Amino acid sequence: MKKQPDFHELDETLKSVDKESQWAEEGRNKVKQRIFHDLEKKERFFFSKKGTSLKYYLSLTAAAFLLFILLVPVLPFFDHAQESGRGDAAQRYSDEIEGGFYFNLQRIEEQGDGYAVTLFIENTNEEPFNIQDNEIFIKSFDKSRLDEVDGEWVKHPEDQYVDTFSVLIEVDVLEGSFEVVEPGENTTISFFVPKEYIDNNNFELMYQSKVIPSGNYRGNWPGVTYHVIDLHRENIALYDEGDHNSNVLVPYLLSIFIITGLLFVTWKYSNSTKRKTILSATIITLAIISHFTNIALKDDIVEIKKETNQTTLPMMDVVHVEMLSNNEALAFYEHGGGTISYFGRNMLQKNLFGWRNIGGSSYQITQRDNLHWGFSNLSYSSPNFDSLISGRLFNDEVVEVIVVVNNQEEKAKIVEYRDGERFWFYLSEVEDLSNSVPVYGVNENGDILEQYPPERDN
Amino acid sequence: MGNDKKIELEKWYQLYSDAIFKYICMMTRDYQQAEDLTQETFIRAYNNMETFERKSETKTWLFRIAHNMTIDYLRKNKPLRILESFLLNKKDTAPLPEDVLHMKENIREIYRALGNLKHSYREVIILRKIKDFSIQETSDILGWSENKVKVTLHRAMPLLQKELGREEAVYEETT
Repeated sequence: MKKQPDFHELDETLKSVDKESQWAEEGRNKVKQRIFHDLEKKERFFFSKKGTSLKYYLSLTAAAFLLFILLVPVLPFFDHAQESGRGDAAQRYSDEIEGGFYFNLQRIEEQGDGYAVTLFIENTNEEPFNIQDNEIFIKSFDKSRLDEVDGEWVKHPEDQYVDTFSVLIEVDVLEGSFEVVEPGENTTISFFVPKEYIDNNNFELMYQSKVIPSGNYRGNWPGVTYHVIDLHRENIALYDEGDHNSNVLVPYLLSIFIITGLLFVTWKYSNSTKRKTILSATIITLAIISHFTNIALKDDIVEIKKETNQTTLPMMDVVHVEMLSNNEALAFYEHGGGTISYFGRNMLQKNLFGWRNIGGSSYQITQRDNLHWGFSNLSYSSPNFDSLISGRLFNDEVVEVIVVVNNQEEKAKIVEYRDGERFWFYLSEVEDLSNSVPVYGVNENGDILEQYPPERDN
Repeated sequence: MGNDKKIELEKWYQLYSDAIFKYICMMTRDYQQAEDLTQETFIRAYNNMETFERKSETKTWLFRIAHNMTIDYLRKNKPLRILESFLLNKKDTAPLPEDVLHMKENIREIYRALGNLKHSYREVIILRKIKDFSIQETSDILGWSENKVKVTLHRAMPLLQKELGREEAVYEETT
């Protein structure tokens, strides 16, 4: 049988270990001084409340902010890049009428397959504001083309571009002048509109006009105004496609508050460092994954179109997106309706929040210049490009657009969109193209058909 | 509030710093590190004073903190030290506790023998036999079950005995 060892003596020796070994008083006092010095130092630098330092709260706020940045794309109320307010007629106009206008729908009478309408318009502006460039048109909101619609009720203006999605209506002036309504004056017009456009929510009957001061007035004026004529409700009101810029401040603050609160609760009431670490790592990992699935992996073209539609230009239609790099793009668009429509371009850049519009410009589309030259200075918005020239191309025979930069011929890019409509653009990284660089539109044989600046007849 | 806490901490330091320091010394076998970890133990105790629910003795609670600090330190430093000594052929020049603390020769032998045991054996002997904590208190400090405390101690004591015997033999041979 194995003999059990006797630990009695060892036990006794072990019990005396603490008594028989001495930590020098000097060392003990030194450590004590260090402890209290450290505590004093911390209290001097941080506001301490219940043992929690300012640094602690600052760290929490910083972490919350980081999380917020990462979580922005997954929070539903930030996804405001929807084509909001482009639903039925009631949503396309507000309760307001532009100041200086008075309307009276004097008669709406069914006549065959349409309505005969008599409209009274009064310019209640004071001097010097005229109301001019008046026109009535139907605008398509479902992208069905109206440029080929014909009939007695349709107006075809000579040498004027009419928006692809609009059809101008022939107007009979019963009283006054429809061309220019001067301050205090009024006009009464009548026109016919087919029922198919009035009864369909995809179309809107619009009255478009410009409020322009006569003479050398210096100051602001409304410019182009769009009123929707709702024959069913017998109502005329300012066109309104909804608030594209939703107020993000409230949800922004709410998100910071919620995330900070969650982090605070986690850190305050979890005693386990391991649990805190795992939880924090999980939150950050999820946030990063969310970020990548919601920003990095989203379809760039769709996001760019959404972002471009955020601009408060009325009746926007993004016609083309040109990717310049992974995080830079140009969006070309048209806006407006009737004979007053514009062709524009915006530069967009991608950052942590996704695609952001950083600037652009648009020019009214006219057919006086078949190259429709327009210049955009990109040097302020893009680190990679200096300037852009572009425009609608109206001459179908033109197959190539040549830009002459520093005596060198450069090819501009021609883009076809919708069905048979075209525009061109030339982008320069270093050259300033604002100084009327020559642009030529040439046919298959190399003959110059169009040029900018246009040739002057001497 | 802050002053009350400091008075309390000072009292704790007065009562338990010596025991805690020697415990850390025996565990880390590094006098300098033991001073630093003792300092950290009391600072952590100060910061967490509100969370101390007084369900256990103050001494037990302070030892639990000291144990956590020491184990963290040993875990973090062990691989680094091995790698450093292997790559640089560097020997640890930190003073050993038994060279710095004032003690009798037989106590010095205990320090050396404990140093040769693995952490868990060393720790359970220190707490149960040197610091005289009960089985329950030891299990609280180490976060073990009471049974594990008993079994580990049962295995550790013969090894310590053996270490002391071997050391004696070596000591006799070299002198």
